[in-house]
Amino acid sequence: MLAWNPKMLTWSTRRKLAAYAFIAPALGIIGVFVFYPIVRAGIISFQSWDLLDVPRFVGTNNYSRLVGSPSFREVLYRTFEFVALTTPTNIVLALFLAIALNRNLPLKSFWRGLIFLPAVTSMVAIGRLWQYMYAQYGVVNYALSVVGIEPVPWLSSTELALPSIVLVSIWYGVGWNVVLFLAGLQSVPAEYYEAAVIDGAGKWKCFSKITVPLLRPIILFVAIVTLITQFRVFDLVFVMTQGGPGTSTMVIMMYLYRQAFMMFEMGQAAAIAFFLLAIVLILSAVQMRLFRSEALY
Amino acid sequence: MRNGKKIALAAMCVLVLYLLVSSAVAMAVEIEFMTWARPSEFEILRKLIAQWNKANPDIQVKMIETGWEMHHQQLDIRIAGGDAPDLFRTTPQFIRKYVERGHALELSRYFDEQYMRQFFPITKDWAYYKGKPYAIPMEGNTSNIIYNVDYFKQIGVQAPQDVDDAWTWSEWEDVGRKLKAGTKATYGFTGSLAKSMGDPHFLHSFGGSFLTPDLKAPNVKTEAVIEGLKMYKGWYDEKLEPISALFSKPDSAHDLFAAGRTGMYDWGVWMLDYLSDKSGGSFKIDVTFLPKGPFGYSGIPGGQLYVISSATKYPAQTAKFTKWINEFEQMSQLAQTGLMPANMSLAGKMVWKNWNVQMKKAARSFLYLMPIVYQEARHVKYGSMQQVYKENIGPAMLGKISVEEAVNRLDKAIRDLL
Repeated sequence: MLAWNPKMLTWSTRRKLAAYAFIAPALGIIGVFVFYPIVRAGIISFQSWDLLDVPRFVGTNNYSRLVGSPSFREVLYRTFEFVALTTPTNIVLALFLAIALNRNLPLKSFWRGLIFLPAVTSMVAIGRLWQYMYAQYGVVNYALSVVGIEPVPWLSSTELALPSIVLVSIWYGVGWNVVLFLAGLQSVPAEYYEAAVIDGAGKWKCFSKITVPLLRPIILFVAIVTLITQFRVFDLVFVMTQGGPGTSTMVIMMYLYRQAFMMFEMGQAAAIAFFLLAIVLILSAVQMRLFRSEALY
Repeated sequence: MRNGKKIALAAMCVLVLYLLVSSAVAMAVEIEFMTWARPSEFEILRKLIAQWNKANPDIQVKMIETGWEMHHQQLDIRIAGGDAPDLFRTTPQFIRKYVERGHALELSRYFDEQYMRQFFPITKDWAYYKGKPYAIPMEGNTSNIIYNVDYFKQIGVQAPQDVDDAWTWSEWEDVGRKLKAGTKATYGFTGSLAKSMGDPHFLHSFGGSFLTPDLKAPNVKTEAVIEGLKMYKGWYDEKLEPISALFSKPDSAHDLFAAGRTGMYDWGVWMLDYLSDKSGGSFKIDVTFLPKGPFGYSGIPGGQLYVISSATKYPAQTAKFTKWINEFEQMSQLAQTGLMPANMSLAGKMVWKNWNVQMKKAARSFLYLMPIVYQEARHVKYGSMQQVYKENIGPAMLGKISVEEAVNRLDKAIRDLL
């Protein structure tokens, strides 16, 4: 009887097996901590389960309840409102800050560090800090009182609570995008600008005809990542308002948390997660389509 | 050969020693006790557990410390993950769901009727389900009015010293107006009426409740409830109570009171030490009774119970520890942190080193509560009802929707939950 000999395999097969062997540990970890939870959540989304009882299969009931729920529609609207306010503002602000920081400013490193600092701070700490700053007797209202303005109920007003969180979210997230845009700006050859200036182009023309087109891949990346991040906002809302006052800051991730850990409806919560996944996938696909372009120059 | 015998003898000694040690180790069990507590209470619990562990090497107790806000979420997740602690604390609002879902051990084998008779009937009622005990009451509490004595002297008002003399809600409003007008306080009052945007005890004193007495349908759409909530809203309109305290942690009732910005607030007497520290002793603090509504005296039905998990591998050992921690000597130490023991004879004998008079008033309040306060708190979805109450009544307090609309929405939300 012949013993099995690895040399019986072709060179190409042996290479493939070796490659799989190398990635097997990482694949195992991803499988356990990423794929398995996704599959499990998918199963739970078709069940009714409150953690303490035995899960019960309910078909698509969780999904149909979501679609028919006025509360969920309100949550979706609020989430889109939050994303619409934060994402473009974040991107535009980050781009202009990057352009400003790309020049020869005094203390350039200091300004860059200052802008990036919130991005390396815990979101929970940021949320707690701003919660105290926005308090009735907090720093923000104190500053306003110096110029004679009455205390503003930043987090206790249904009109102001969401915009207050939007400001914090932009302040927190702009640093990362500035870094990405800075890297992109530094890869744009200076000769392009020189040639444009020689041809009589002004600052706006240089920006719109050189900078933006050449930064397109980075803008696309930043837009997609920022969009996904803003859709997933939870820590700030949880720490600052817990979805209140009323439900004026109840964004989709906070609603998911509420369904899972306040109402103990795990099936509903899982269905919300997949709903969110679908929304983000569709929006990302739309963005990629809009930004897609052939050779620019 | 001689060497071989020596080696064999040595090996036998090692084996015997190993068997002795491993059987000793095997006899010692470790039980997990999961609880929240205030820092002062945790200090005492740690000492007590160390004392128990020293005296009972065969039953070692490991305490899992949680915070109140996350305790039940963490507990539920551990239970769902098959890793329930052997013993945990819970409250009357949550006990029913653990019992009905089969996660609480039936205790009549370890705690007989004579043992259970030592607890206040209200607290004993929490622990029973279909005639059998599933928990051991630890303490009972409710909310009282904590007030600034110095401010009260300034406005010439004497706070009721017995529950029979408690203010009506209108009288309470008037006191709030006097405090706002006649002292440095920015607001008349604040407190768990704000926090109890999740608790319906305000509704109870106006003849309402989340649920009907049979716990099968909502009971919020009554004229009395609507009038009561309109009165409640009026306090925000008149700025007798800060709206921010409803939603903003930094503007919490405790801190506003400790800073002298309100003259009174309603919370539990376990806050007295904290308030005294926070205010730096700049004013005298005392306790009085919540106002009475047209239907009676209400408050938040609070308390704590010990529950032995049905999944525990060591029920007898866990029961032994539970009995011990609830004994007079241990409970009297824990009670000094502002707890009222559920044990009647201990509660009667208790002398609190700090706030003795105030604790006695709190005990009187507790025993005076309307039965409805406890009955509906035992519904398995009570926690979810608190959440929808907060979400639906909040916008009415902010003036975004009418009180009538808020009550309609709440009624529908509770029906959906049921």
